[in-house]
Amino acid sequence: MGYFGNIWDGIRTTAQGLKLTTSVFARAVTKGSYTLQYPEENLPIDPVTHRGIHEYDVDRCISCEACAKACPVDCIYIESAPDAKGKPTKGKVSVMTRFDIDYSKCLFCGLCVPPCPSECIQLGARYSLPGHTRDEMVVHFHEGGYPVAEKTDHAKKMIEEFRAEGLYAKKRAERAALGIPTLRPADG
Amino acid sequence: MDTKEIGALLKERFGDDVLDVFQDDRHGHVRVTQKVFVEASRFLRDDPRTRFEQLHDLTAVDWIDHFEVVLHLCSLSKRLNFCLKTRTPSRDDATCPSVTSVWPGADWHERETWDLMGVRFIGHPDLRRILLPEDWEGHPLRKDEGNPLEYHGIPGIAAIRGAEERLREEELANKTSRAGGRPGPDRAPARTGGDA
Amino acid sequence: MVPERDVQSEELVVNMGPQHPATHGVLRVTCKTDGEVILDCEPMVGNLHRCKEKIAENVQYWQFMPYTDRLDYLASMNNEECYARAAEKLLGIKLPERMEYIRLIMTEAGRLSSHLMSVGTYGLDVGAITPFLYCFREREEANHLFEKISGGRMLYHFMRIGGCARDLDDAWIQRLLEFLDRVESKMDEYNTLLTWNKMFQERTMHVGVLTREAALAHGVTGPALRASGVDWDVRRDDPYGIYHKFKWSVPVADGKYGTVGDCWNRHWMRALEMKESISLVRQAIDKMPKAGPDDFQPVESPHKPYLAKGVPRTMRAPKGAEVYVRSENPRGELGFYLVSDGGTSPYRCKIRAPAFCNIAVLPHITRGYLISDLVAIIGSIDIVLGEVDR
Repeated sequence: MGYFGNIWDGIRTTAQGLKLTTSVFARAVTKGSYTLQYPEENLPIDPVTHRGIHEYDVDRCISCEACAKACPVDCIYIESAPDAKGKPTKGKVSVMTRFDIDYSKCLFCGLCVPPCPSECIQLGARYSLPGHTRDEMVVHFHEGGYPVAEKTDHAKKMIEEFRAEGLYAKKRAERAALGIPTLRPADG
Repeated sequence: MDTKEIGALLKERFGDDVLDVFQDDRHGHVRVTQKVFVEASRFLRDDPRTRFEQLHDLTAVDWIDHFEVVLHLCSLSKRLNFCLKTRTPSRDDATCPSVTSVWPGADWHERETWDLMGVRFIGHPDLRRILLPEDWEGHPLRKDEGNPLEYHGIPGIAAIRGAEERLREEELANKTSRAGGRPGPDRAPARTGGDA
Repeated sequence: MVPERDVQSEELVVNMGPQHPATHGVLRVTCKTDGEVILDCEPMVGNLHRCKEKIAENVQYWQFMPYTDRLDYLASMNNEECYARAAEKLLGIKLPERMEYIRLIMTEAGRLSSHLMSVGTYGLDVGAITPFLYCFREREEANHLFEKISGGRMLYHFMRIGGCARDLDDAWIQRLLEFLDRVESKMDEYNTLLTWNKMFQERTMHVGVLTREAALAHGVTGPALRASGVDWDVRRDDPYGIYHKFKWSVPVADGKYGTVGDCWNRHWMRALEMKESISLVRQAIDKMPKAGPDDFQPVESPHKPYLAKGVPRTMRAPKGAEVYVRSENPRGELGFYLVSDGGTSPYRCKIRAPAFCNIAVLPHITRGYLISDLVAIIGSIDIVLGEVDR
């Protein structure tokens, strides 16, 4: 292929490419483009499978620390109020004084979800948590997490039990006595 | 041809310098002395029965009293996989002959092993750190290597953990609430994607 | 135009990167140059070192899975699959047949998604922005698909040891098939825009030639090895999983276009492999069996993993056991070498990263080419620095 052949090839293949891009452009003009105007428009998110910011029911938590043990980066910090003997409370009656998740460390892997015996923690559909400092990346879930959206029969039964025993109101009152407000009640 | 047969070939050629031929359903390996390590590598590469033309992986394992250098070889023409091992004389004398003369591809693998494990490869043309910075001290994959406290003014994880614990103790002592942080996830700024 | 070689100028050391858009991440390349000709170059890696191997020694087997996503973050599915297989071999877990099919479908779809990215960004490297956007249009759909099934757009954490996050349902499979049809129909567009474009060919053909011998000696794997004319694919030649049940062809450079082992052929191998991946996914979907009654543990909630029967909760490998497992990743052969001391975490976990071995060959194939070719050569090796530095 000679010198002019090369030039001709360049022109020919470029013209082919331009023909293609023009057709795509025409399609975009007539049928709309592929892009979205974020943040005014958002992509649809599957609320069940999406692994976003945690949904957590502080009143149903039994402070077993299974999620903290499963966490590969140790980003979950759990403390519960001491009982009469000074030991941290466990089980149904436990009152959470600290349930912090450090989102600067969190991998959003979802390994904290399956071990939970009371199914009070899940990864939800929210994903946006901008902040200016590292401290802002720590979320105090004990002051009110989002209720878990996806409830299994086991979880529903547990909620009924908790309600019947009046544990939701009791725990909230106990936390208030410790100076922890409940900003967003869960399944109360 | 499996590890046992290749081990037999090596035994035939190197005799007592082949120390261990092992195979189970998971993995197989042949361990040779350091003396014949490079020679055995060259033999495995050049012998028409084996032809391991590709060094797949080179690494080392810290077994506390010595290091074990592990080579994974691959023969593309004969479709064979093989694992060759050798041990360093001791933990303090963590040296091993380099196989860069046999497989040039061993260059970076040996640099990495030196960098992270601290096995010095004798005969390597340019044994420098590769993944870590040049002024790093220690070899992090050794089992006795602790977490560094500080590097150029950046606190290490050990220092951070210590500081966190101290802060926690102070808080408990003073009963003060934690500074910073978000009261709940719904305090995130309003115009954001996920919160809509 | 190649500059006049008889005119010698002063040698100059030029630093490229680490913050350079064409180095695919944080790679720094120091080049010794004479005018515009590269006399020698050295890739400086390690800027993204995140101590993966040390982390593996400190977390349990199943906890290391999300970390493997972050190795080659463009092909997370393939990394996960390789690690899962290594851990399963070490722990002695057998998989039901359906799970093998799910793994194959997901890894091949992951390969397709990764190659879409590679092909697109390679165009960007040599100055063609349009194919990049077109490839991203399709990759976006792949991201949606993976997000739908695994919950993550890039770091899927889909595979688990002895299973996966959730079963594939029919609606999802239907969507996947539609996606495959769409990519297949668009494949010619990429080739028209990029592969057969004369200017692209001028930039990449006969540039950065990696000979067959050098490729073998330096341990180059994957599309780069096949572009050098070596007919080798682990999926076919040392089959793992259920690859032996399928028929597909392994593209190998034959020198019909360009020189065997040049940048263009490396790009071309990826473009051809995309077609093979599509065919593999289709075959697997056709043949995928239903789950047997005793194959899987019951799944109570969509947040619980879909695990095979008999997968233990506490994973403990026998003392002294070791495995070396490799798989064909989009960038080459990924290997996991796991050693157990009888505990719940690996005693040693070595990751044989394909991009680490492939980028090591860079000095050998850049000598004598121009600085502008360096970008084309780095792009054609298709590295992901997350994997190089681990």
